[in-house]
Formats: sequence, C-alpha cells, structure tokens
Amino acid sequence: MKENILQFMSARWKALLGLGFLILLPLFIDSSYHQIILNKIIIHSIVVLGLNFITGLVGQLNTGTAGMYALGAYTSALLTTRLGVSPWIGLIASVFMGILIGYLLGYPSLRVSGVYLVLTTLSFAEVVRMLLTNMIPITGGALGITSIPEFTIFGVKLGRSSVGFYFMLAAILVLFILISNRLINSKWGRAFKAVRDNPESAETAGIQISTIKIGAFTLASVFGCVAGALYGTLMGFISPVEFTSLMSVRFIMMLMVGGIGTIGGSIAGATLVTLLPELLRFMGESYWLFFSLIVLLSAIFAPNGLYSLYTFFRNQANKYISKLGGKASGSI
Amino acid sequence: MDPGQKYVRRHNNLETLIQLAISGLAMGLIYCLVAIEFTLILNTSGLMNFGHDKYIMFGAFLFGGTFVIRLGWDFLPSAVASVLLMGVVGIFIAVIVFSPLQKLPRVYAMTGTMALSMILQEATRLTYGARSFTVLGFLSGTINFGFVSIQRVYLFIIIVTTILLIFQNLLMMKTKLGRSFRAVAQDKETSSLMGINVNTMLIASATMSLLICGIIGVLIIPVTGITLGMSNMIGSKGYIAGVVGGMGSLNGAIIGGLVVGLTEALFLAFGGNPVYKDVVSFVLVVLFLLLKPDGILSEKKAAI
Repeated sequence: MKENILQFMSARWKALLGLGFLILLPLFIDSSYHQIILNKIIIHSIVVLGLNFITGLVGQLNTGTAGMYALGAYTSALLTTRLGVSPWIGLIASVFMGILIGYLLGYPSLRVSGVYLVLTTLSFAEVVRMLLTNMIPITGGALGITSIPEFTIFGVKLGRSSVGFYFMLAAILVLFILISNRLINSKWGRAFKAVRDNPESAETAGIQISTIKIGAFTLASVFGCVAGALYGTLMGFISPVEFTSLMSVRFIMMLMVGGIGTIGGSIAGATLVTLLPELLRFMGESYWLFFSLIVLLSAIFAPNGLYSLYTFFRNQANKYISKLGGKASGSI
Repeated sequence: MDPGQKYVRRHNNLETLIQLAISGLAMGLIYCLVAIEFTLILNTSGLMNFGHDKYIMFGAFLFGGTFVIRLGWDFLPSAVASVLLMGVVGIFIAVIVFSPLQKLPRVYAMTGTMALSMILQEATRLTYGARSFTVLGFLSGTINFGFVSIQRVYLFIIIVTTILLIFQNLLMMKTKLGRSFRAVAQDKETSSLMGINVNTMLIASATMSLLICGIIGVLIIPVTGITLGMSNMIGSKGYIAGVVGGMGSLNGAIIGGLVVGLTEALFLAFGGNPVYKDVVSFVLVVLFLLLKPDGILSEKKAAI
C-alpha cells in the first residue's frame, strides 16, 4: 500500500534523485571550510554504513569503531608518507587491513556477545590507541603523521577542499551505498537480521552464525578502514589522540539517531551528528550537552531515531488527511 | 642485562618493590570498588552502566571544586557532603533514567547510559571549566617506615577501601536490604513475586553505587588530579576487574580488582615499561574473554 509520494517512486527514481542532489550540492557550498565539513559528512556516512551491518543488522554493539578508523588511517598514511606510494595503493591497503581486523574481531565475537562484546571491542580500540601512541619509532607517537599526500587522478591533484575530491568521495560513497543496498536486500541481509532476532532459529534454518558474525564485522571494519584512509588524506594530519572511545560512541550515536538498520538512517545520522557543532554554534559551549540530552531522550522515547519520528509524523498526517477525505482516503 | 645483574638490581631496590606492592594493592582495591559499584546496578536492573567513570569524576569535582575550593570547607566535611550529594543524585538518576532504560532492548539502553555520562561530563566541564586542578595538601606526602617511605594516599586508600569492603559485605550478608539485593540478583521475577519491590531495589542500589563512586572520586584525587579524564582508565579497569572476577558477582568484583592491581604491579616490578602498564590489563581482559569469560568465580548471576 503506497502511503507516501516517496513510495510511489520506484527505487530507481529515488536513487536518481539522490544522485542529482549529490551532484548539485557543491553549487551551494561557498567556502572551503564548508566543503571540508561536507567531505567529513561523506566519510562519516561510510563508517556508519559499515557499522550498520554489525550493530544495526546483526545487533551486536560495536564500540571499537575508532580503532578500525585509526588503523585504516594509519595504514594508508604510513604507506604514503614513509614509503612514498600513491594514496590509491594506500586505499587498497586499508581494505586489506579492514579484512584483517574483521577476522581479528570476528572470532572473539563468536565466543562473547552483548556486554562482553562491548568490552572486547572497547579494549581493542583502546589497545590500538595506546599502541599507536607509544610505538614512536613507527608511528611518530602522539605527534602523529603529517603531510599526508592528496589523491591524484590522471596527473590532476585533488586538493582537500576541491570539488574534484568531493566528487571522488561522493563516488566512493555511492559505491558503498550500492554495496550496502545489495547486501541488505539479499539473503545475507536477511540472515543478518535473523541472527539478531533469534539466533537459535537462524541456526536451525541452516544459517552459519560464525560466517554471519565474522562477515558483518569484516564489512564494518572494511568500511571503517577505507573511511579512515580517506580521512587521513582529507585532513593531511592524523594523531592517535583523536581516536578515542568518545569517537566510537559518536559513531554509535550517529547510527542510533539516524535510524538503526537502514541506509538512509545511517547517512542521516552521520549528517546530523557531523553538522551538529556547526548548527548549534549559537549554543556556544553547551551544544554537546544538549545533543547528549537529545540522544538520551530519543533512546527512551524514539528508539528508531529520526526514522521513527518520521513515521510518527507521517502516520499522524495520514490520519488527519483521512478524516478530511472521508471514505476516499488520500494520503501524503 | 644478565639475570645476575637483575637480581642484584631488584634486591637493592627492595624499597621500590614494597612501594610497588603498596600502590598495586591500593589501586587494586580501587578497582574492586569500581567493579562493585557497577555490579550493584547490573544485578538489580540488568543495565550495564556505561560511563560510570564519569560519576567518579563528578564526585571528585564536587569535592574539590565545590566544597573545598569554592566554599572553603575542610576536607572531612567536604568529603562527607560530596558523597552524600552523590547519593541524592543517584536517586534522581535511578528514577528518571535507569528505570525507563532497563526495559529497552540492550542496544538502546547502553546508548542511553553512554549519553547520560556524556551529559554529566559536559555539565561538569561547563560548571568547573576544562582546566584541571587539584586539592592542595589533601593526602599528600609520604610516611616513613624505616627505610621505606610510602605515599600517604595509598595507605589511606587501603584503609578506607578495606573498611568499605567489610561494611559492604556485612550489608549484603546480614541485613534485610542485602538479602533482598542478593535475591534480586539471583532471580528478579521470583523476587518480585516474593514481595520484594524490585524498583526500590534499583533505586537503592543506584544510590549505593553513586555513593561509592563519590568515595572513589575523592580518594583518587591525589593520584590523578581533578581533570575531566581522570577516571577513564580506572573505569575501564573496573570493567576488566568485573570480567576477570566473574561478571555480576560481588565477591568476584573483589577478586577481579585485586588480580588486576596485582598484574599491573607485577608487570612493573619485573621491569616492564610503565608506558604499557594499561595495555597489560586490556590484554588480560581479552585473554579472559576468550578463554574464561565467566571469570574466576564463575558464579551465574543476572543474565546480561
């Protein structure tokens, strides 16, 4: 039953609309500062899309995202600054790092779940941060890595706040959206949700829980590592100081606020949380307090994040319109 | 360094060894308390109180910032006042936040507790500023026992925490409140059928938990200073202590805390690089999670 205009459009039209929006967006950006924020939103969206697999679909809370992000960033940064390889190679290397981490975290996740998994992933992220901070000969310690080179396509350098870089990031985002979409709407996605809802029944139905959990973790870490590598090139400078457990919590908040389990929700949440410091600048020092308050309230009252608010208002509007229309029920 | 030299070096530094033992014991007891305070809430509500370290930080700020510095009170009345105030805060938090959160699916509940701790941290930052400070003359200095001089704060921690642990044990074993708590920890539904008001237990345990957090906060000020991140590591080590000793078990919390403190002290005593001291505990917890997730005591408690 098509209840709103968005559902009147087939998925193909929605995708075209989104694509058009992405392409036209740079027209509205007037400063390089805003451009960098936009690029950050894209990178964060990629992380949250990955996190969505393990936390949204399989329902295993992963508080170690900062560790994946950091390792991806450092892999690419170290390769490009110390060995002088092209950032593209760094990107591919971060994919492999993601696969490695996926297995590393996936196996313990088979034995522990729930709260224990939270502690395991938390410990992972903290150990990563401590090692990166203290292995000074290799990583440069707390001073971090500087002068991370930018990407070049066919000899053209893509500056950090250039439109070219934005389109490259947008293209990568679109790629990841397509991958996520194919996965969620396939037997993998259904298996993910099955393991979340009822592991025993899923096993009885023939789903290998170990494959599912390791697969979900690998997806999360590959997305996270690639995003980390892109982050390194965006900022030009990384340091272990920023990859704290607070950052992991922020990624979780992005997922929660946007709407757990959906692609649009992941992107919406990433956008909102990344934009928040800018939007709430008028609040001065207290914006994070305000935001945490909102997260807390929404956890209690609107657990599905923005998506549940959206459905709530949509249903209210539909009821109102039905009353107006009488027996011929229209809807928006 | 050949083994002979190492032995000679350690033997000459008996004082260092004793100091390490004392500080290891003191911190281990602190970890015990941290593990106890989150186990209290865990057992009565099934809620894992993420960000419990921020409550410890808040207790320290209350003591140092509000009572000692701003109001100019003496140490003891300040300590008592800030701990009591933490208890009152505990009542409010239990009623307003923990009660509704415990009914939600785990993912949302955990995020909710995280958000609450963020709120607390931000409120603290806005009220007291982001500068770190400390309380001068509070448990500072050392006491000499012959050839060994030991920091006063560690001795104080050992004495206070031991008294607190004994008190806690008596409370759990001998009083009606303690028996109710143990009943709820074992089986919440049956306890409520038996007439125990589970919600009251939640409020009571949250109050106790925050009282303990306040005490911990005051005690560790000479060790960490009063700063926003003072209790981050201690909070994580508290979780580690809980896992190592047996999640959900109060006795396990004590054993776990001591094991973690001992491991750190041993690591340092054997010449480990102090920079990696924290990594050791995390490696410990990962080992336990993989090999023996039930912890040392393996008492089956509240389902998490």
